[in-house]
This record gives sequence, C-alpha cells and structure tokens, in this order.
Amino acid sequence: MIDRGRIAALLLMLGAGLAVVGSFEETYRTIYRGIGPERTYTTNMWIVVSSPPSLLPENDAYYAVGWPVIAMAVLMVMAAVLLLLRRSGTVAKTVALAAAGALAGVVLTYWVQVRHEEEMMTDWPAQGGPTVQLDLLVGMYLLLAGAVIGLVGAVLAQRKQEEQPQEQEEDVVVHQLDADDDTPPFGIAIQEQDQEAR
Amino acid sequence: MTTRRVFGAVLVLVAAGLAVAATFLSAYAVQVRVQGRTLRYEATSWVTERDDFRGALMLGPIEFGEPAVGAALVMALATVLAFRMPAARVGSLLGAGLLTGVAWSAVASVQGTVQKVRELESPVPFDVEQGDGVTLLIVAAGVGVVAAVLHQELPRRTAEVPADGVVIHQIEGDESETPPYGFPVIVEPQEPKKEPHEESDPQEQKSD
Repeated sequence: MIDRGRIAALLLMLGAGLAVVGSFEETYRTIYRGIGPERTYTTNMWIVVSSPPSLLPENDAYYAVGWPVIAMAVLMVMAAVLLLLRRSGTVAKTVALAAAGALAGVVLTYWVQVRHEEEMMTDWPAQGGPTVQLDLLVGMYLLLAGAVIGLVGAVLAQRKQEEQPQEQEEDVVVHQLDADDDTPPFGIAIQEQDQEAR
Repeated sequence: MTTRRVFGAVLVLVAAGLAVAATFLSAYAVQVRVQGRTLRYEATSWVTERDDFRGALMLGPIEFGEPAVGAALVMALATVLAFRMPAARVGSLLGAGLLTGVAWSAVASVQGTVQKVRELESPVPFDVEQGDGVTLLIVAAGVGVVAAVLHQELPRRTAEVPADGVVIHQIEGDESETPPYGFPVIVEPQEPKKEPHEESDPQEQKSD
C-alpha cells in the first residue's frame, strides 16, 4: 500500500504540473460587440492576443502572474521530492504548505480579478458602451484544479508526522538502573567470604 | 506553549491586521498636470477613491481586497484556534502562504497597470505610482511568513535517528567519560585472573 507521504508528494507534483500547464493555456476570452466590428481578446497568464490583430498582435496580459505560478510550482515539486526521499521532513512540509498556499493565493486573486472584470463590463451597455461577453476557458479550470490538489497534498503531508515514532521501537533499548554506581575498571573487590563458599 | 510560539502567534495576528489595513490604503495612483491643474485618479483595492478624469482613462480598482482579507482571516482564526487545538497551527502557515500569493499577484497587477499607463501615447506625461497599500501588503506577507514559521512546532534534533545506521544512545545525566588509561584503581585486585566485568568488554556487548 502506498503510504500517505507518497500520496501527498504525488498530489503536490500533480497540482504544480496542472497549474503550470494552466498558466500557459487560455484562461478567458472577452468578446466585444455593438461598436464597430466584433473584437475578441484571448488571455492566458502571460499575454493577451487580440483578434482581428490590432497594432500589436500580442500584449502583456492585464493580470500577468505567470512567474509567481512557476515559482510556487517549482517549490512544491522540490518539497515533494524531499518528501519522497524522506529527507528534511520538517523543511519539506513547511515549504510544501507555504508554496501550495501561495499558489492558491495567486490563483484565487486571479479568479477574483477576472470575475470583477466581468461584473464591471456588464455595466457598459447601460452607459452606451459595447456588449461584452466573458468566457472562462480551460486554463482557468486547470489552475483552480491545480491549486486545490496542491493544497490537499500539502495538508496530507502534514499528517504523516504521527506515524513516525512507531518505527523506532525495534532499535536497541538502553535501560539504566536506579543505582548510579559505575563498575570500576578492574571490577568490584570481592569479599573473602565468597571464596570460602566455593 | 513555548515563548517562540507565543511570539510567533502574536506576530501572525499583527501581520493579519496589517494585511487588512493595506487593502484600505491606496493601491495605485495616476496623475497628470494640464494647464496648471492637477488631475488625479486614485484607487484602493476595493473602490475608486478619486477620479478627476471621469472614467476617460477606463481605469478601475485592482481587486485584491477580498483574497487578502480571506488570507488574513485564515491566519487569525488558525492562530486563535491553535491556543486550544495545537494542530490548527498549520493554518497560520497556510494563511501566510495565501497572503504571499495575494501580495505577489497584487504587485504584478499594479506593476502591469503602471506599465500600461506609462506606455500610453499622450501629449502630457502621466505620473503613475504604486500606492502605500501594496507596499504594506508586501510587508504584511513577509512578517506573516516569518511569524507563521516561528509559530510551527520545529523538530527536536535528537528525534531524527537514521533508520539503518548505528544507533548511539547516551544515558541522560551521565556525562562522565572514561579517561584514555582508565580510572585510577583504588582497591588493588586480589586475584588478577578474575574475569573483567561484562559491561567493560565491547566484544561481548556486540554478541548480545
């Protein structure tokens, strides 16, 4: 049976992988209609591509947070490898939880900002602006899934601590008697009475 | 609970407070001077505080208030709960991680906005600045991570024993070592042929 530490490490790696892939996939698309020709802007965590192309076909994304996702994913994978090798247990668990938390923070902020953008755009037609449709795409779902799976892995990694003390039971056990007298190098002097008894 | 952990717990609460305060301070501001007049746009992470351009620049607040308050709540609740339930300590680290992610996102978004406004081709240059709220959020995240690590239970060094290697036990309280030539003999041995005591022979100990 796979132990809990190994499952935690695998979940951390899966979460990190999904988040990195998600950051390069398209996260959302906005379609502007009503004023002039229809325009589409497709965004991932790095760039935004407009269609039909404007002066610059690619621009930096409005919420360009690709680097934080990559950095946290790398930390999560490092923590997972340490967990698998069973080295620096406490450091691995601490880094795993902090990095998974930070990845979740980045993804949560991104999601809140995109939802807010959608809310803001719904007011535009009433002000005489264009009608805007905002669609969430596969990248956003991959990011959300990666953040949640990473968090589950990091929390599982914390609980492994309880099982460790049992493994040490088979080692050498040293007992100390209450008496503090050490045996002198040449033994304890034997009384003459003992010799007579033999 | 050790002094280190109590100190960590107090610092986590301070960091959570700073993070909430940061969301109500200015996130970024755009300013321009036209014909002696100063027009200014300023927003916190929640609302637009001032917009002299009346929407012409299409600027809006960069929303990181909700995630930041969420992270601060996780930190504070976990810390308070940890006084009763020690296992809740991991929550403060999780919250500090969340806050770091939120702060990094906020900085990236604000920097992106600042960059885009600076690149606008305008006859009068825009003066764009990152607000105090973002700076304070970075400070809160830094303090939060350090405090949360202090708040955790760090391992005792003696607890880590290599599984397959030689195990050396030291009996507590017995710090005396045998001198290289043994202890001076106080009582002369009556019969030198007598067997030495079991404990002084390392060979026999191994065979056990």
